[in-house]
Amino acid sequence: MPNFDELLERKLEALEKGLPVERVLADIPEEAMDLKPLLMLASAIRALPHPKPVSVLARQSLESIAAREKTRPIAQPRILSPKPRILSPQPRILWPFGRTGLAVGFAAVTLVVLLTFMAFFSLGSQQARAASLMEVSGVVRVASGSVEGKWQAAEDGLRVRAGQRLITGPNSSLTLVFSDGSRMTLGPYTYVTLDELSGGWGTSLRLVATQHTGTTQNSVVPLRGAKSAYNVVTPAGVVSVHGTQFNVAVGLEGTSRFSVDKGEVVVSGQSSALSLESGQAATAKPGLLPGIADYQFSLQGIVSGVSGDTWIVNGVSFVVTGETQRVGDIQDGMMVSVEGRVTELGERVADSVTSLGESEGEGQSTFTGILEKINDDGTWVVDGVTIDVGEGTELGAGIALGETVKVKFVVGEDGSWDAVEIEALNEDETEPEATESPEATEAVDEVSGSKLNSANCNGGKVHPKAAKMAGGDQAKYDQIMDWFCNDHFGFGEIQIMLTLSETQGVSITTIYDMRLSGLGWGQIKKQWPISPTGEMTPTVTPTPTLLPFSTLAPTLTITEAEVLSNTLPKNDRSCPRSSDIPKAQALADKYGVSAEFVGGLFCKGFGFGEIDKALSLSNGDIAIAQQILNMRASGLGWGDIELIQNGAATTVAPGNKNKPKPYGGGQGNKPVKPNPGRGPKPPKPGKP
Amino acid sequence: MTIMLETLNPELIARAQSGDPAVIGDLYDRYRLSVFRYMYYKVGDLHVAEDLTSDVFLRMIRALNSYRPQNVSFDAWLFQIARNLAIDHYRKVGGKTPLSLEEHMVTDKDDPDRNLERSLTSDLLLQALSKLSDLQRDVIVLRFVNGLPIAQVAQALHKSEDAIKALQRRGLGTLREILTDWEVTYA
Repeated sequence: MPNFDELLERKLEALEKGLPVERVLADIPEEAMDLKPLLMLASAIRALPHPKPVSVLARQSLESIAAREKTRPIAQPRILSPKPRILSPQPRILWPFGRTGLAVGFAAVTLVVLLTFMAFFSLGSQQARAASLMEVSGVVRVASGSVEGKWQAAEDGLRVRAGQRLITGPNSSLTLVFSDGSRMTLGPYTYVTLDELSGGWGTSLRLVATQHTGTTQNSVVPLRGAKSAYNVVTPAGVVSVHGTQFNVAVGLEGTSRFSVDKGEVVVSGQSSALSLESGQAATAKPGLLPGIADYQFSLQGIVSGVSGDTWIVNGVSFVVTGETQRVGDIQDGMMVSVEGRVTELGERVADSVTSLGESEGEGQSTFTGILEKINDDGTWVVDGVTIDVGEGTELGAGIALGETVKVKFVVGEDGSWDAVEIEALNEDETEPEATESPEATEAVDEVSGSKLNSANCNGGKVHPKAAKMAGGDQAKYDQIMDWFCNDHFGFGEIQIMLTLSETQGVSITTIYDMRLSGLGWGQIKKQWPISPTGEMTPTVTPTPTLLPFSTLAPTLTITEAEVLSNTLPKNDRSCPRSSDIPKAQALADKYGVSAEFVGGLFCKGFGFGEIDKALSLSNGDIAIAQQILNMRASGLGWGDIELIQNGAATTVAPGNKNKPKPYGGGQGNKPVKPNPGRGPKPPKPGKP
Repeated sequence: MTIMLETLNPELIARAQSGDPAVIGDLYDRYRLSVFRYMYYKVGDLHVAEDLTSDVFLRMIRALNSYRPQNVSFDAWLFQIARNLAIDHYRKVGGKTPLSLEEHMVTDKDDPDRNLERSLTSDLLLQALSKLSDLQRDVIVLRFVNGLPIAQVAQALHKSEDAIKALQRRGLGTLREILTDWEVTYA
C-alpha cells in the first residue's frame, strides 16, 4: 500500500513542474484514485485569480523607514562598572614593625578612601545617565526600548534612561531635563526614543534621541568637550548642536522641519549636511536635504482670505503648497498658527498651518532675516522687506547691519509693516563688536554701516566668529575680516556669500559685486534658485496637479479644494484609481468627512483599513486622525496608539488641575472633539 | 495564480541586513503579494490584511539582523513573522477570528440558484478555508496559493515535513468535502 501523503506530494511536485493535470493523474495506482480529486483541487486553487492588495505600504515608505532604522544610532550598551567592594584593611603583622608596614597601612587606608570615593562617584554617574521628567501634562507614557516593552504612565520627577521610549497623546506635553540643564520639550502626539544618554556631574552631556514623529523644542546648554553631543535623529537628517535653541517637527512621510531660535545647528542627511543659523529654518524629506536654509516667518491670527494657493493671515500673504502640513479642519475665518519660510525667491511658503482655539492665538506676526539697510526715512530693510521703525519700536541689544534679526510686526492700514519689536538673534556676549547700547542707531554708523569692532579690526584679538567661518580657499580668516572690517559686511551676510558660493558654484566675487551694487540678499538669491537636492532649477513656479477626486464633488468649497491640493500622490502611481473612489466615499460617509480627505490619505500610502481605524479612534476628527496616522507611520503599533488615545479620554478631564498649557511647537494642540451629532458609531463595513 | 518564490541570493540577504533600503524595497516588491494573500486568507478582510501586510514588513526591518540564513529559509522566516502577527491580531480582536463567515455563506435555503453549479472563486475558497483548522489552512495557503515547497512550509510552521504532508492531504480532503457539499465545481 502506497504512502498516500508521499504520493500526493510527488504528484503535486509534478504539477509544480508544469506537467499537465491529465498526465499527472494518468499513472496513479488504482488504490490511490482518491487522490485524483485532491490533485485537481490543488491545481484549481493554484490557477485561481487570488485577490491583490488595493493599498499596502508604499515601497518608498518602507525604504525610508529602513533608511531611518539604518541611520538610527544603536544605543551603546551601558557598561556598568562593577560595584566597588569597600575592603576593610587587613591588619598585618608587620604593621607595628617599621616603615614598610607603615607604608602598607597608609596605602590600605588610601585604597579605602579611594574606593569609597569611586563608589560615590559611580552612583552619581549612574544617576547622571538619566533625565528627569518635568511638567508632565496630559497623556504621557514611557516604555523600555524593546518594541514589545509595555507603556507605563509617566509623572513629574520620573527618571528615564538610555533605551527608553516616550510618547505623548492629544493635548499633552512633557519636558525632559538633562544633567547639564539642557531641556527637550515634547509636544502633543510625539514619539521619541532615547538611544544614548550619558554624562553629568561636571562631565559632558551625550544625548542621541530619535524623534519618530511630533514636535520638540530643545534648549541646549553650551556643551563642554569634544565628547559632548546633543543629537536629534529624524527621518530626514540628524540635528547636531553645541549650545542653542531649536525646534524639530516630524510629520507625515518623515518630512521634518528644523528651525533655530538662537545659535547654530547642523543637519546631516544621507549624503550632505546643512547648516542652520539663528532665525533660519529648513524642511526636508528623507534623502532630500535642501542645499540652503531659509529665514522664517510665523503668524498667529485669523485666516482672512484664501485665493488659490495664496492665503492671508494678519494681512500677510503666504503660499500653501501640497507639502504644507495642515493640522485641523481649517476654514476661512478661523484662528490659525502658521510656521513658514521665506524662500530664495522671496516667497513666503507655509510649512504648517494649525487650527487654534479662538482664544489661543495672540495675533502676532514675526519674521527673521538679515538687517540689510537702515534708511534715512526711518524704514529698515530686513531680508528684502521694508519695515517702518518708529519711536514705538522696541529695539533689543546687539542689533547691527548685516546681522540676523527677528522682527515682530503688525500690518498697518496702508499695508505697511510696522515693527513692534526687533531683536538681534546673534547677540554674543563674547563678541566685542556687539553694541552694548540698546539703541541700534547708536551702534551703527548710519552712513557707512560700520560696526564698533576696533579690537578685532586693528589686529588685536582674533574674532571668534570669523575664526569659526574660516576654512577653504575662499574663506580665509583675513579675507573674512577684510569683508567685515573694510566692506562692513555682517557675518550673516558673509555666511550667505560663502553658502551661495559653495552650493551653487558661483564665484564669491560675483556675489560680492552684486551686493556692493546695491542688490538685496533676496534679489541675489533669486538668481540661483535651489532645489531640495541642491541643484539649480529654472525659476518657474510649479503648478500643483489636482487629483481626479476633484471630479467627485463639483461643489467643493475653497477649503475642501485646498485639502485636495494637500493630497498630491507621493509617487508616480495613478492615485486614486477609479476602483478606490467608492471605498473612499464609503469611509467619508461613515465618518462625515470629505472623500477628498480620505483619498488624500490613501494616496499618501495609508490603507483604507488604517484610515478607518484612525477616524474611528478620533471620532471623525480629521486633525486627530492625521496625528494618529503620523504616529502610525512612525512605526507605532495600533495597540500603542489606542493606549494613548483611550488614555486621553480618561486622563484629561475638564477642569483637570494638570491641564496642559498651550504648546508652541507648531503642531496640533487641539482637544479631542466630541462626536458632533453624528449619532452612534456606525457598524463596520461588511466583510468581503 | 500561484506565486512561485525562488530562493534568495545570500548576498541580497546580507545587504538587507546591513540596512540597504533599495534591497529592502526589492524584498518588499517580491514578497508583498504573497504575504498579503496569506494574510487575506487568514483574516478574511482585505483592509485588515493590507494593514497586517504592512506590519509584517515593518517588523521584518526591525528583525532582519536576527535572521540567520543557515537556520531557516528567508521565505519561511518571513511567513513565521506573518503568522505571528496574524495570531497577535486574533488576540487583539478577542480571540475571535474575523473569518467567521457564516453570515456571508450562501445557504441552500437562501440561494435561488441552488440547483445551479458554481465554479470555485477566491471568495468561495475563503469561505471554505474558514472551516479548516488553522494549521490546515496555513498549509493550503502557503502550498497552493503562495507556492512554497513542503520544506519551507515545514520551517514556517515549525513542523516536520511528514506532518505537513499529512496536513496537506487532510486539508485538501476536507476542502473537497466542503466544496462538494456546496456544489462548487473546480475541474
